[in-house]
Amino acid sequence: MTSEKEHIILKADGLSIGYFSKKKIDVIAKEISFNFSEGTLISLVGANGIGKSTLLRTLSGMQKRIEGNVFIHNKQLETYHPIELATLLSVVLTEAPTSKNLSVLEFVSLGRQPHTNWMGNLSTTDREKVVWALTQTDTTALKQRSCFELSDGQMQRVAIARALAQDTSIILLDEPTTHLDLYHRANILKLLKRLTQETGKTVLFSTHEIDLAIQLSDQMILMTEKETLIDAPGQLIIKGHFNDLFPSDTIFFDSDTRRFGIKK
Amino acid sequence: METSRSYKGIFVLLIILLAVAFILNVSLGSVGIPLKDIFASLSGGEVSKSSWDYIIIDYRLPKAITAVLVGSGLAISGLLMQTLFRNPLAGPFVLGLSSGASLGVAILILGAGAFGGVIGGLLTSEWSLVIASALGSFIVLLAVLAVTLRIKDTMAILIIGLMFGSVTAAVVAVLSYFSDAEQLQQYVFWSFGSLGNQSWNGVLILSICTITGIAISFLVSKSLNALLLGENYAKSMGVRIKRTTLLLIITTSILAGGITAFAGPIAFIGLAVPHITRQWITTSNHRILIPAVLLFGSIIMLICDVVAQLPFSEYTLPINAITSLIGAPVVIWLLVRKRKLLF
Repeated sequence: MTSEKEHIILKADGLSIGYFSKKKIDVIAKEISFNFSEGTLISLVGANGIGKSTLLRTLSGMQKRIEGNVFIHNKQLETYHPIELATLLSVVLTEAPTSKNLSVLEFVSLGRQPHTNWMGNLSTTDREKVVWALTQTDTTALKQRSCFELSDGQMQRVAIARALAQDTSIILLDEPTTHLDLYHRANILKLLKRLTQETGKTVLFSTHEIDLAIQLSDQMILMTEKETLIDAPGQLIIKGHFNDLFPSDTIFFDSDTRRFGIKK
Repeated sequence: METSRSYKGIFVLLIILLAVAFILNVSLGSVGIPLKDIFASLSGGEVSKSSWDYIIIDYRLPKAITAVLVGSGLAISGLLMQTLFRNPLAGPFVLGLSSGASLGVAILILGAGAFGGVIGGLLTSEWSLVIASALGSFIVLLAVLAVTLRIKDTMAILIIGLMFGSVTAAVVAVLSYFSDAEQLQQYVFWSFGSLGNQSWNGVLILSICTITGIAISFLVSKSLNALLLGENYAKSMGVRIKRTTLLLIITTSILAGGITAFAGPIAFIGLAVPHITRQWITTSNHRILIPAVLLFGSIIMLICDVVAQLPFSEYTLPINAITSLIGAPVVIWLLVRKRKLLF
């Protein structure tokens, strides 16, 4: 039973990420290794500009890695055909869709693209998946609305619905809680938690909501200037790694309350 | 992409309008011909005067078909470019595509005079105009794309399109200076735009260009829909961006280049028709938009041509002037009314 549970979905091995610029390689983070199994909720935290988006872009194949390997379902990322990869991994980006004229239903059903024929015709299964994605994210009531009419919180849920409709075992989300108030932030993170538990999806999201992430995540990727640490939130607290996250003269981490405080 | 409403009614209406506009276009001209004789001529029956038969079959019919091809092709090329550049102001004219085509034709017609000699006579055949024009617009589109890859700001791309327009005008001016009056006149008449005086052979070449372009745009409509979410999302759904972009560039240059070669640089259809269509049917789904834009472009072009013909008079206005006179106010009105273009 545990062997199935332990099935590795997303794996990084000695991964270095960064940018190739003219004649020189800019390494942002290196020696990143992890194994994430089915149904895991992973949060990716770190200060601004530390490379969270770069890591997500590298894992999704949008950006070239510098060293090491990424494995999806035990197969190297680069060896996948783009459409095959799109059936295994979906993303929720910070950027708004270019066209705001799309209705929520149109937006979400676009997630079915890797599964549809060359015309993009939706089969009964495709329609069912779209309905399911809308239900899961509680956006069914919005389906006739245009995307430009939605609030930030609603738009975020719709973006998650689109990724769900894509029906992949891995979902990567880039700061899904930005611009949202506390209630909506908690709401989105609870939704992600529920998805990992109920559907067995592996969800990796970057966030600045470290307090909330500690409470909900199974695993955390903690990016600091020195190194990238991967462990369960409890372990990271015991080892005192959260204190390395921000300059200690301004921010400290209280391991009893599991919260950050400001040094007065 | 799932669309919640049915568009059957709209398409039935568009097809009826197209039929009406087509009949109207064939019926009206400097010579008044009774409707009965028009139908008789079109269906191969007995016509009261044999000259009427000639006017309809060899002048008005190819002109009406050209209007349909030009209108649909330009409108589709505008739609493709608006989606590709993620900019609602893109179009064959604004991006300098028509300027590129003009430059190609100018070099061909005027350059033949300037450089003179043996090649001059060879070059001005129907195919050479098409090739020069398509090549001109293809080069400009490649340049615009090269800029797009470097500059993320779409406003800059539009300004660069305008710059290409200026450069073209300058090169044409230089070439004109060295050309003789006859060649200059040939070029100026080409630049007015004209749907008439097309041989059936020309119509055939034009329809090959247009139908190829439209067929490809249907084939890529799925990827176009993915591009509505932006390049990164499209990539994450398995769209091969480079391949799709190249295909779209080739398609638009076949459409805009081929059409500009035959009908001259016709303004605003490519920019305005996709917008009017989007505002009207309120969807961005390309599987609905492409056929709607195609039909609507044909209808507008047929009507513009009717106006340009100044029915029952001996005069014909340049078609380019009419499309601009109608197109420019429409674009201004759309911008003022919505304050932003639905996209």
